[in-house]
Amino acid sequence: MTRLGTIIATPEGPSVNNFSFVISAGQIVKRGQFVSVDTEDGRAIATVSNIFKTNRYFESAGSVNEQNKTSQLYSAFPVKEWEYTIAEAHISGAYDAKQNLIRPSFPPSPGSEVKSVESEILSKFLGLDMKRGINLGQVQQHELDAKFNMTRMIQKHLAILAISGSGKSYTTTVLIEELVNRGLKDGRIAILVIDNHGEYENLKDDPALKDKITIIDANEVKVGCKHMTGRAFAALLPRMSGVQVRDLNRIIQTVRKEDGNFDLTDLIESIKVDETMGKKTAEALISWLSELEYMKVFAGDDYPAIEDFMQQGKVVILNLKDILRLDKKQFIVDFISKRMFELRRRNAIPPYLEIIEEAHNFCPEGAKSENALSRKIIETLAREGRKFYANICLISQRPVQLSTTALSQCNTQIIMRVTNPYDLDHIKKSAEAISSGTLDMISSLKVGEAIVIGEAANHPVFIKVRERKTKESHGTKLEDYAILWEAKNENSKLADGNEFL
Amino acid sequence: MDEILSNLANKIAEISNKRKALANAIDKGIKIKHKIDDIDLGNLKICGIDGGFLKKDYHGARLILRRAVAACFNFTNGKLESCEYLPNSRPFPEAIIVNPEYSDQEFNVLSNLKREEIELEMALEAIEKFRPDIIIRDGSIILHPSSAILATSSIYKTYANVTELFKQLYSECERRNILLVGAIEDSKGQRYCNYLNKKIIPEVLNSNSDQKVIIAGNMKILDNTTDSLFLYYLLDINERTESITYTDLHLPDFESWNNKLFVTYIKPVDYDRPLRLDFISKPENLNETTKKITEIVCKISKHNRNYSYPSVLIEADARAKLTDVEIEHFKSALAEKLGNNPTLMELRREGRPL
Repeated sequence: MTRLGTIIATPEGPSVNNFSFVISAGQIVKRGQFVSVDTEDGRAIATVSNIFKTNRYFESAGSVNEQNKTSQLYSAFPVKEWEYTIAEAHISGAYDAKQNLIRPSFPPSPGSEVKSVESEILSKFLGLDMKRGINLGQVQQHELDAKFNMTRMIQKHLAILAISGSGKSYTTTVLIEELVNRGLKDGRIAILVIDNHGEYENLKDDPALKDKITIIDANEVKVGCKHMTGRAFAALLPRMSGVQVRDLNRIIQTVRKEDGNFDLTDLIESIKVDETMGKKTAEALISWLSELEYMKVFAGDDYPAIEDFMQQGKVVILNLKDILRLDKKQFIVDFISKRMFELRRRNAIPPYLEIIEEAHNFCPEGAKSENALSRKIIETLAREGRKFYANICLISQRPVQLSTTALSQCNTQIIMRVTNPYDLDHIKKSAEAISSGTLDMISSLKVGEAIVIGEAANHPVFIKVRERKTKESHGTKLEDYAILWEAKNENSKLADGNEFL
Repeated sequence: MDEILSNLANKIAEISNKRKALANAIDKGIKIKHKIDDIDLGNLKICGIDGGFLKKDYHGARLILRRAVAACFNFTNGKLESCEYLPNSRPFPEAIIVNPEYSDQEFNVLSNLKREEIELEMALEAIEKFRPDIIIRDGSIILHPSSAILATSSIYKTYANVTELFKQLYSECERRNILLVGAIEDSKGQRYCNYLNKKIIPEVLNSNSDQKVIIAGNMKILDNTTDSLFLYYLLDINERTESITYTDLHLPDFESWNNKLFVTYIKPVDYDRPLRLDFISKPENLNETTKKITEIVCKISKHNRNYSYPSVLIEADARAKLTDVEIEHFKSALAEKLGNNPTLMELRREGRPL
């Protein structure tokens, strides 16, 4: 254990929760680092929440201003001799004599030595799983792998929150790599990725993963009409009244063929000629069903048969990048998610993790039901999925727009850089473990740095996400893309000119 | 209330105006002040000595906490290159338990002597260790006459030790050609006013000066004026007074040094009062010594238009200063070892629970 500093007495402490210490000369202590100090309760472990410097020669603004006018402080006084670095630390727990982790009930004494924390102690303190854990990287400021127990991290759902460009997808890829590379005895799960912008399709090109990846083009997803009933349509069209559902059911019975199938066009035509249905009901149903038909997602049978792809240690990527309509995307996600959950409840597919990119688009907070077609199933999964090993991972850059019901059920949160004050406030409300000091640190995280909060770790822990093993697909830089675009247009003008000539 | 304040303000203004008028008249009547040249500190070694001192009465003991620090600034080509400390940059204070049977007066004298003692010892150590060009002490380098006591006194031994230390310090500085200066932060001295009254003003009054009437009309004010208060009106920035001797003091144990102790005042910045400097010098070198000392001290005392004090003493003070909290910590630590003991009980008047 290295001596890092000495606790000082301040008006606020040391208390059972916090203390400040002067960092010893030559020692480096960083924000987020874990430190230890002996107390009457045992050895307390604390997190450095803030670091600042002080110097008595620069305490008075008036004096410094005067110095600027007359002479230089540095040439008149030994100012460097008075520079101290002070760290503020928050006590998270203490190990008593029997090595039980307890909540400290007595503060450390001023003058106590602050020491580093050994990796074994820290691993135990954080509740890491060094044998079979998911290795997301390294605990910041420590030589310790950030290996989180899979059950604790995933079974009570996971959320990855950060602003755009701070490394959400990168971290998700690391998570996927860890999950697909688990050994048979480590426990493997199936993975479905709802890929809104095609960010994960290049995983298929990676030699190490290509056999474990299946990409489904969302445009090819079809919903078999044979499963549809009036109530099933009502779930897609929330404005439908009870009378309308009853009338629709009646018409469906008339158009359903022997194999149970029917065609959406037949259904619409039958409504048009039905004489018993009220005119307004008929018009509304025709309008809504025409909208659904326009989506071109209904067919005779379901496609794909998701149960064929969902296998342990394998990844299915549902690529939505070519679909522009959000309602269609939501419809497909709703359909796939429901189907998966149903199959899992019937034990027809293995335990799985559904990773939902841009989750605020699929499970928005405050939107009307007709604009949030997939919200209900995602919230259901968040509430009930755990019991059936149907787990979700919500990824979002706008936590404030993400359903509070779903987010609050994500018991582990990997939070990367977030700067929007509304988002920060939303995160704070959804995670009890976040103190205001931690919240400050979230807004100053660098790319690839994250804080893991909640079920996965006994205490909030800052990590540096490890390098991904798969090849990263860097997008073209804006400048290069603009040059390419211009060149392409010039060529096309030239081609047009040649044709004209 | 407003009337009382107005009257008070008018009185102060009236006295101040008299001081100002007298200062102007003396300045016009006779040359008694000198310009201080701006110098380059070159490669000087300037050492500041200051102490921290606290005393407190308890029921059965009197506690003194003291420490002294020497801060030596090493200049290279006029720039501060490094700072060395003695005994170190943050020494642990020394505690002295004093017999409670001493009278309050004896205890006060003893306290002053104990303060002098540790600072003088530190100055002598600093001479050995740093070999500075100049030593500046916080406070006078002359033992205050009120500290002189009879050989029959129970604290005479301490007094004798302190006088010996003073003489040793003078001798060592003289022998090694080290300038020895005392800078008095808030001097209440009237020596310079007395000197004006007795020597300068009669000279002006006997001359043909056209200021005679003004001087004669205001000279009484000097009886109730401290030097720094009066010199505030006389000195301009970067000016000093002439050096005057301490020969009238006749310190009983310093006979051989009485004619080598001098005082001068300098004004390093615009809006602060003049600073009193005591120093030793061979009488034949007085002009040269005065010039050197005032140039160096003036140079290192310009940090703020409203405040002038040598930087080495600001640094030494910051290192040596003791706070009430420290004597409380010391007393608590002692009480912890003693247990329930009436010796360290607070005085009733200081520990009222109600």
